[in-house]
Amino acid sequence: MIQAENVTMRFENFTALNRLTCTIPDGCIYGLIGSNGAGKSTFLRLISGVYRPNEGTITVDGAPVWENPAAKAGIVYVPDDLYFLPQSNMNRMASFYKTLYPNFSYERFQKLTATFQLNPAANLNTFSKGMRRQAATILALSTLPKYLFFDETFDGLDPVMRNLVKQVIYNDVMERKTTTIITSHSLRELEDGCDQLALLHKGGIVFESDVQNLKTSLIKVQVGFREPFTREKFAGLDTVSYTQVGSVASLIVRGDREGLAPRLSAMEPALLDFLPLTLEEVFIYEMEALGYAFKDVLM
Amino acid sequence: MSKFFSFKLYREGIKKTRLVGITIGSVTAALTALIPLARLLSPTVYYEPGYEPATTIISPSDFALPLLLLLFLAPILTLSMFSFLNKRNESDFYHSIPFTRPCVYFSFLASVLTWLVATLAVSLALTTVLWCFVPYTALSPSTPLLLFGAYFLATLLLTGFTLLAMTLTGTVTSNLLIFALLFGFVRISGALFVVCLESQFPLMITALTPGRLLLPEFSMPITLLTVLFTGDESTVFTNAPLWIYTAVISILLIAAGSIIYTKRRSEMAGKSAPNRILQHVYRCAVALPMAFLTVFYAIETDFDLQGIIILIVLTLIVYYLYEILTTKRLKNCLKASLFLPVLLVGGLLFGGGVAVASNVAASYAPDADELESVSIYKESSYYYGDTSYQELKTQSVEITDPKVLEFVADKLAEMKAIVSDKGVDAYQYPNRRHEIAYYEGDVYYEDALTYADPITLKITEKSGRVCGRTFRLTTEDYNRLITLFTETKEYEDAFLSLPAKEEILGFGLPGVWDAVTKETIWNSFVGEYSALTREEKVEYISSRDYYALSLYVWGTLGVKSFYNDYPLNPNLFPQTCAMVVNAANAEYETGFRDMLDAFKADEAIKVHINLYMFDNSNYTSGAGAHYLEALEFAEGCQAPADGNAVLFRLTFEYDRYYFDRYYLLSEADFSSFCIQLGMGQPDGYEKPAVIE
Repeated sequence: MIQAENVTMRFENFTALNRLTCTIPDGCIYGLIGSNGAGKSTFLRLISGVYRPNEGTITVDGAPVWENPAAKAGIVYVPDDLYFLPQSNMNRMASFYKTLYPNFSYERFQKLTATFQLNPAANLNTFSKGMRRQAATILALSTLPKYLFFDETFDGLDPVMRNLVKQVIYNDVMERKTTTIITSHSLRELEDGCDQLALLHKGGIVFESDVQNLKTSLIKVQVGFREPFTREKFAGLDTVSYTQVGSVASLIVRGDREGLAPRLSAMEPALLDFLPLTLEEVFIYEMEALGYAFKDVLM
Repeated sequence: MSKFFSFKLYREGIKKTRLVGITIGSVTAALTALIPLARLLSPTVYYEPGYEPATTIISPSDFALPLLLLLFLAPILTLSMFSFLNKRNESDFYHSIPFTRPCVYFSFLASVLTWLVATLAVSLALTTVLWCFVPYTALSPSTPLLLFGAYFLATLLLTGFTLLAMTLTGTVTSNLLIFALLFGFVRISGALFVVCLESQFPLMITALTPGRLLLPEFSMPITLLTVLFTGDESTVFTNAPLWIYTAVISILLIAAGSIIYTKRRSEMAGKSAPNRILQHVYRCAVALPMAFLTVFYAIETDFDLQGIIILIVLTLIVYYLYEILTTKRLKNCLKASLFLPVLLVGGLLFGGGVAVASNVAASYAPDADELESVSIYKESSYYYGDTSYQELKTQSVEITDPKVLEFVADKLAEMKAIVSDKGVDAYQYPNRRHEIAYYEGDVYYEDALTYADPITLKITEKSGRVCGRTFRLTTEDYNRLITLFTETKEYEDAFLSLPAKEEILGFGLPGVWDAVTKETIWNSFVGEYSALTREEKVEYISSRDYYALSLYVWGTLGVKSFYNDYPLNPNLFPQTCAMVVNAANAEYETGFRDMLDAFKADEAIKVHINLYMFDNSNYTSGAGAHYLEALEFAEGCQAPADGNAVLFRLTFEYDRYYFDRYYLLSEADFSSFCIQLGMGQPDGYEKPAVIE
């Protein structure tokens, strides 16, 4: 389990993280979204032991990460800007990783290399950006880590390869219960695989939720009446958003369809329709409910 | 898993730097081996075929030039190994791996040092083996070891400087500039300060102050470089304080680097400084030596305005160029301008420091009861062999006699008074006024006193403070001081002593090459010297005569080297002289006989003969029967039994052959021989016994 408590990280006059607190349970795929400069990469560097927080504590399985080789042995960080040894190929990098990470598995490396159809003997300089990302992912997964951190990993991958990389990562999580943190500035990249999502804004987590709960927490209802009505008619509902055009109102309501349908039907509406919300829409409404304009946070 | 070292990381470090290591290492080893190889493959370039030349002792300098590449290899390897500190992604990677920062630092440092040591060891081993096959050369086993030690320490120091520069900054440009700053700032500033101080008050000996550690001669890489030009190997290879100092500084630099590396933030990679304040500090530090130089120039040239303006402009160029090169932003120059006063203040402090230090030095005049001891001091020479054993021995004799201390205290007070009233020049050049008068056509030396050569004393106070002052004493005062010194038994004992066996590194005797023979001759000399009376010893040691027929001895006393020649006077050392004659003549007996036979067969053979003796020399050249007759005459003479003999050496150059022949003749026979050779009657010697 990763725990961050009141973590503050400053760079001269700029505060990248401000009293950030979060808990990431074992075996979870944790999606961290935020705009550029929100503090995503800083957070990953902190929990990888690259940075030492100015204030607060970061522990992995109860032990601090900073200057703790035992804790770091189970952590692999795949940054946005990848590093490979100069003039190396994947075989050389595998031997390098084997030196650094005690659990590195050549068997897994070969299997994954075959899956991605990469030539392990080819110079990495000849690889495209996407292929280099695949190579970094393969090397990271081959260390059989307990904690895997990906920073903007899906950027630069074509849709097919993106799905393949995601699939490989998710399979690994399923098989080995690896705790994975994936950062992105795009919610769509994360919505289909993460167990938990957190939104980082101006150095703090402004919103965090279980994805399944999130997806089912809000529902969009379109309802119409023959007689004139106002918002007060729905006072008994936990309404997040309300718009009315003529005799038809659109409501974003907290709750599920099964619970809401009998209550709304009892009002004898002329029109009643339940519409599913995308994760992005849920996010937008939840953010608005918290007082943030979504476009300010993610645009 | 060790907190400070990982063999796996060390191995990775070796792999990471193998391209640089192998390339420069191979070039260094190949170039070092080239020197003996050239002599091995082309012997005729170095000596004449068919003639057996003298054995040459291979000195450290014969190895040194290619090894200087190592001084470049150290920073290049370190830059290559720790290059990840200059790139953000690499820096993040190496900070995220499951090893502590000290472990990464020391493991990679060990990799760098391994390449350096391997290159050094391979180069020296290869060269040593090759030298063993080069004929007529001798290599002391200590030479490769001394070279190994000196070059290892020099590269360790440079590695330390590079590491510190790399941990302090985050771009290659700033790495190099800060490296140059760290390596050169203290040395350049120290040298400027000392030179400036010495020019303001030349009577003080800065080498006796702790400030000498800041001088360029206390930098191993600089001394290794300068030894190539000066040839004075004693400044490096037998200079223990330099070795210890270099080792200590290297360790401190590496330790400081490890602390900064551990605390260094990964985001510093790619930045010239961790923050703007340090950027200002670095920039000012880079430009400060130029500001010092400007002040130095102003003081030395009595404010030559044109030169000062040029130096100010150069200082500003250095100042702004650093900012532009490291930050790549022209607009930063505006902010940088705010810190220009630092240079002004630095320059003023430098000038003020020199003024204060020279005034303090000039007013130095402790009372006699404050003094602990006095000894004669002579600055280390830049030329190997300039310091004699007697000088070294007497330097170490601390005179505590109250009369000496009283005398020195008086002379210090006199120095202070003259410098204060008339300036340092009046003390240093007491006869200048008269010289000027002479050139102006006035009476020369009308009221001048005669002055002895300057004498430098090392003065130790009871407080432990040590000072060196060069005194300009009248001849009368000088003689009084020397008399006071020599009245002290320990001083005279030191003056008359000969080097002990363990202090001697080697002997030299023209015409005698065998080390064992030379040592036997030396032992004989020591025996005969010991048998001399004290007065004879004083006369012999005092009357130094640098001439050809001498036994040369060199070695080290403590950490200082000495070089002495002991003239072989047959009247004082008859047994030793006889041994020299026998040993030297045995070496070239065959060659000499061949030459005589050749003369007999063909009188037209041309020969060049040099004659060397204790107080004379002569030369003759040509062809003729008289040479053969003269030589046969000398060969037939016997050494006089009364010991009143003349020892001389002949060197022959004949048909591209070159060899020596020693003779020990009576004065009359020697005169006769000289006349027969055509050299004429030598002055001051008995009339010849036989005149043809």
